[in-house]
Amino acid sequence: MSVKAVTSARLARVILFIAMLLVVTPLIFQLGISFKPPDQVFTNVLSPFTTTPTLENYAMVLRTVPIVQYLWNSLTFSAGVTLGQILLALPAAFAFSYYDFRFKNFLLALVLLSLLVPFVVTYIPNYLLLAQLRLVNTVPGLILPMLGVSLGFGIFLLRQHFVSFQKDILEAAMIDGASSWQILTRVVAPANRSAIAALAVYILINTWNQFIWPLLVGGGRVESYTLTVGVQMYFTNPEGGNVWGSIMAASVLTSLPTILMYLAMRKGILRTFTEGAVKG
Amino acid sequence: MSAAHSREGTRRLSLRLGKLVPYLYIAPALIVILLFVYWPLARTFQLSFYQGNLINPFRSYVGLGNYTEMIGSSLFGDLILQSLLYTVLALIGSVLVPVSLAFLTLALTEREIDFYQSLLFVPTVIAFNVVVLIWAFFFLPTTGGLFNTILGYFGQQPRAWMKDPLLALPGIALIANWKVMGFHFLLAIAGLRAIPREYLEAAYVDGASGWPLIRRVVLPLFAPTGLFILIITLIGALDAVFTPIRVMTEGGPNNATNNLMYAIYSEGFRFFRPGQASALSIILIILFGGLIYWQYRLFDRNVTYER
Amino acid sequence: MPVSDLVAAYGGEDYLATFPQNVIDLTDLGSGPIGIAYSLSNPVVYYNADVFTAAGLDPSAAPTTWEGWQEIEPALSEASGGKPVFNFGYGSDNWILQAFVESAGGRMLVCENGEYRTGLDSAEAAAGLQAWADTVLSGQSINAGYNDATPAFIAGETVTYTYSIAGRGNIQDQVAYDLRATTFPQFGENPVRIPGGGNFLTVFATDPAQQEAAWKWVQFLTSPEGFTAWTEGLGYVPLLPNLTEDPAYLADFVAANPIEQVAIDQLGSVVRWTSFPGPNGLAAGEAAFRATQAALSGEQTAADALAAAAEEINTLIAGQACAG
Repeated sequence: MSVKAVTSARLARVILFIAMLLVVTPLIFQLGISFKPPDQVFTNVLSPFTTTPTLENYAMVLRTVPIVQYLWNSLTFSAGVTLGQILLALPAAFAFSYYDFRFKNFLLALVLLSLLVPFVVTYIPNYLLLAQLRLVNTVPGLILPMLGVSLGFGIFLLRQHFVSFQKDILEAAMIDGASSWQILTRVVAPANRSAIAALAVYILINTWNQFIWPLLVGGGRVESYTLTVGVQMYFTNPEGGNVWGSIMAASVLTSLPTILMYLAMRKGILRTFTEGAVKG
Repeated sequence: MSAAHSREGTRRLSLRLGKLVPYLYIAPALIVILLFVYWPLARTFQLSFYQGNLINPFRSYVGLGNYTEMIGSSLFGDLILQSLLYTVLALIGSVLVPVSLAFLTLALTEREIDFYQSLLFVPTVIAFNVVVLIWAFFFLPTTGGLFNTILGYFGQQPRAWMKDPLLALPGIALIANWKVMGFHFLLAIAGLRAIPREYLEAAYVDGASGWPLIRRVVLPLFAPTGLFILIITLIGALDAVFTPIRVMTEGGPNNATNNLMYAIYSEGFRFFRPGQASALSIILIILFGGLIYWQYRLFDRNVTYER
Repeated sequence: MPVSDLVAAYGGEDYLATFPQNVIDLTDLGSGPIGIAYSLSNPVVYYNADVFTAAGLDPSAAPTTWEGWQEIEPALSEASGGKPVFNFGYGSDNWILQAFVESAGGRMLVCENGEYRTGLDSAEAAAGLQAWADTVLSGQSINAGYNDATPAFIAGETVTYTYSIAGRGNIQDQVAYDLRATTFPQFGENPVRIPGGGNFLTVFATDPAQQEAAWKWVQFLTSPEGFTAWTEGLGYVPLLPNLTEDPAYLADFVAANPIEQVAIDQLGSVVRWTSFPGPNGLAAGEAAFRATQAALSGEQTAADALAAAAEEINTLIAGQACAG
């Protein structure tokens, strides 16, 4: 390598390191403040660390917030949307990948164009529909419209993986007399399980992190708050809560499940997106 | 019915089914999309000609009244302008920055890339309103807020960041781009991976003299990824600032952080005017569709897809 | 369901008789009471008495007028190490805006020729908002919404905090200094006019058994016992007379909590909180909120901002009939 190349490599490392610091700093503060005693939050503001860490903020959150209820709502909401979307996307992606049929391109376009409709545009009609079905402030009410909203993305991503799948394996299975359903469930799905799992985790994390929609549909009753709504109510409730230590503690508790999930599945998630999403 | 006859029947059925099979596979997904995306979209269109409230949204037919009210509002120009401003800032923060950073990783080892990729991705997995709460601490208007403390070291007066008509919008955009950047960085790295290593190394080893190679060979190969990132940024720019606005400014101060998408939410769920919200929705969809189509046409001429 | 129907179906005349007539009237929109007024909040000025002491001021004699606060502001600022003295948390409900506007002699809403219009374009209203804006623009006050304002005061980042008595319980629980409160300041010779605040509870039930249960529950909430728990916990002012003097209920509590007494003392200054009438009422409120923000950031003078907002509001609420 030339001298120029070596210096530019060093420069690249420095820039990337600074960028990484900028991204990570708020997270360090989040974690640090959650362990600070209340009277230290505004003394020595620039340091997220304290020499006398306390669990008092966490205790306060657990004492005053029905976090188990919120956790359960977030879980059922995210699991419902994830399961539903995977079950819907899998056969659709399968059909779009291996079949030729009339209106295929039109239907595929319909699926993909649905991604261009901002969720906010459908808030009111979806809300009215749920009100008619008496599903406002219930977890099923949270789940149903979310099934449709980003479904196109799942279909798109799975199709990207399916089309690059070896066709001769499929043909061999077909000659063996397997039905198309068997090919989907016994050949295609298992062979793409890492992609499906990564998509599932992605949907799960995305749903878990939804805020506006659960606020609109589930924000009317404490029993239907998700964690994100709960932590927000904790922040904005003028009659209680509202000190930074416990706000940060609540936000750490809210983020923990998705961060752990990400750490556990990191390789798979990163690989799926690097292989699937960018093929076009 | 004879056995042979019935067997013949099943065979014919499965043949007929055979043609139906792909549709059966697609039907559930399609129904859900029609029911929760396209049908609501049609309802929004219908609602935009009425005024009412959320209990009785069709109280009175007003024709194009909602459209003229919204477009005629003194705020409409700012809504458009600020929507564009957010989009431009997203093009910088969520396209230019992550793509540049991804190109910088060409100089790095696999392990380093893995390290940066993993850390920069973390904001993606944290709930948006949680992200905003963290940043709210940085933007506190008191002397003890983090940014104000830093200003204090330079002898500056504290600022009410999110109540300042000039600072609030960039502040909101900063939060949104911070959140989205890591995901786009990941996509950009993926795009680079698809380019044969030897081109990259050749471009890289030649240092500054390698620039023509980057421009002529690497960039075109990167274009499909670039387009993908560009399009999801354009689609997502207003969506990405939605939660920060909702939590921190409600479109204020004095409309300074508002945009088309948040205005829809405000009309619908803060002022309970579904008709006006729907009219804004249709306006947004039209502008949006136009923007995406224009982008697509622009790039379709220059980019060959790998299918 | 009207209260009279509930009483007819499930009883409760004795209970109803415990309320003074003016409280019953609060929920009467012309066809008899439609609910039971629960409890009321009003804005008080919380302050950090330690800073008063440090400044050599008597913490038990906090100002009750705007001029009084302006006089001691420099001393308080110095004693707190240059921290802003004032903190008026605000939001899109225009609650504090109304307190400023109406205490300065203006009105949020007036009735003219049988139609509502806003009074925000008056010189008095502008003077009220400008007084507030001047404290922000000169650095005497922070410019913060409710979310930021409360923790700032709790952390000792401002010397005073003008906020609802409903926040009393929470603030008291969390401050590390001597917390006291005084009444909302008077402007010149104008009478103080502060908006009441609160939330409402609606029980939806069509089943008679549920209706009866709900009615009983409402009766409990607004009973001496119910009010006592509610007031002690949060700070809302109970609407049953004499409850705060009855040793069986809140007398001891109020004696130990002079802050609560402040809110009770200024009940006479409470006026109805303005919600702009008609289907565009909330959008009209937003216009007033925007004017507040424009004035506080110095983007516009209070007079200009309010004049523009008034024009917008009057269009939005045009045609809403009023009596008087």
